[in-house]
Amino acid sequence: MTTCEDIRPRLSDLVDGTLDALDRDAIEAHVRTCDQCAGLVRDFDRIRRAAQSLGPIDPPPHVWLEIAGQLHQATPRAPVAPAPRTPVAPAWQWAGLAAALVVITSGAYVFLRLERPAPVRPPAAADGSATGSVQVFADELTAAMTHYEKAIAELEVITKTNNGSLDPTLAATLQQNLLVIDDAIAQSRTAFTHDPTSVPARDSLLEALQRKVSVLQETVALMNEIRKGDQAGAAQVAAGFPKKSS
Amino acid sequence: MTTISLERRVSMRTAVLFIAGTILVPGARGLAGDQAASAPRAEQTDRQLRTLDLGSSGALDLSTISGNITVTTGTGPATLEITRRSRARTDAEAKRGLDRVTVDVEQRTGRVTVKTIDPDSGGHSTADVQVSFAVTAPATTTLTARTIAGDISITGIHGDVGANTVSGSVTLANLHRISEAHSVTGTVAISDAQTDGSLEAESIAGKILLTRVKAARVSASSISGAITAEEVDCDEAVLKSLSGAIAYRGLLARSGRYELQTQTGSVHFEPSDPAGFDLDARSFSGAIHVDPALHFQAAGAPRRSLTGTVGTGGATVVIVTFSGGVTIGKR
Repeated sequence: MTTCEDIRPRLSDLVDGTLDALDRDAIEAHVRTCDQCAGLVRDFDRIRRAAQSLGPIDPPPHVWLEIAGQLHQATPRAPVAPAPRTPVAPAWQWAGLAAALVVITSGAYVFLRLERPAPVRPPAAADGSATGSVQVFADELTAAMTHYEKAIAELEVITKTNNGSLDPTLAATLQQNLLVIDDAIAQSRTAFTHDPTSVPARDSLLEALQRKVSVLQETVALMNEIRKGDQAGAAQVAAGFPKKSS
Repeated sequence: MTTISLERRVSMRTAVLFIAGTILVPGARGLAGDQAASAPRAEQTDRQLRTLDLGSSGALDLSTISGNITVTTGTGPATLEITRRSRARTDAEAKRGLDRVTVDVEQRTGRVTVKTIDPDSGGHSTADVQVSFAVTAPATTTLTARTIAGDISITGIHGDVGANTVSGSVTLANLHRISEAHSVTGTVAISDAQTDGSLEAESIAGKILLTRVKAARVSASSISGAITAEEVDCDEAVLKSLSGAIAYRGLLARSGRYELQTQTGSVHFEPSDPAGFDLDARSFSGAIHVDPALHFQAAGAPRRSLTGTVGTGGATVVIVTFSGGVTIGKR
């Protein structure tokens, strides 16, 4: 087990401390020599610590869609006639799942930290003590947007690579809505750039980014099911049923 | 469980067009086959009626790929009508499609699972097969309905209901407990529903219509579709759309919370009783208008945000838009 492809599915286990000593030593040895995997470990660890500090998080439905697709794929088929189908390459699906999980977790983190929907906002603090927290807040906002943009870029690659698996009409509908979101992102980003103190601009930007991630996740999940070739499973998973059964 | 074959017929048609507006996702396309989709001329249909032993409070799980699901209530035993319709270029191909796609009905102590099975899921078939379910069930049934390409209509069920489609509409009426209603491309319409818990409606491209709905919490989300809530009674509402307009007309709980959020769409908020509320409305560039009849007491000069109180306050109302206008009270 020496390649990144072998190592990456186990990184979350490493962070969670669920590996046996032999695997842990091997993976840690790889991580010490691989900047990318080391970066992933840092991301996982940061997310894990953030999640622990926040307590239970109810994931959005899309994450169940994604996970259910993966679990369904991992479930051995009944021993009926072998399907003459090309095995599904797991790499992009892993990437999709990883991106989905990272974004969901960080998204929940961001929104719990940044969203402050108090009905009446108190006056902005004017004393110097607020300066530090404002800077921290700005840093967190920047980090959040970076997370979203990274996830969006990864998910877009996945969807573009596999867009042939979607029905053209459905794909067009999804694409149209992605354009709606892109417009919203551009509009909000411009406004936020001009007025970084604007709460509506900030909120709408984060909301639009989160929406785009959600739509892309749903698209990837549908593609997953379709590529698996189990249409009945697609019907069940695409419908989002698992999200309420957890 | 008894099985009665009602009808099995073969018919030739010079031209059979697909239902306009039907969107077939790949799963459904897998059933369809590209060649058949282009010019199906033959059709075979099979209908079966089954009696289901759901008891007085059984659970029914319906899942199909391409086809509609319709559920109504009845006083007698639960019944399920399965309609399989295969379209292809020739009778032989249509028959092969019909033989290929089956429906599995599994029953275990008050729980019935109905699922469409297509062993040729690779999309190589030359036949387009749609499998629809029409169910009559006791009102107390717990129900889950799922399809990829098809409409779902459920009326009168008072057990817990979940309805999900990818390409199609969801119409729920006179229900008591709705766990979720979801469509990717179609309209989600819920009317005359009441639940002690949460009600969740979601669509990406479709409208969401909530009419005479009572629930502890109402959640509705769309990207490009409008969200309209009329005569809604809930303690908490979260209505979000990106480009669609949002309208809420309904009762406000004294300690309730109501969040309406859209990017470019407009927001209209109109409480149906004179109870007070605390308002926090924010917009980056949209105008905010409050009906003078509400005697709104603003906390400050209105600019891009408006906070204040109507009456003695109470419910919390949060409205956020980016460029959409906001209207509070009558237009």
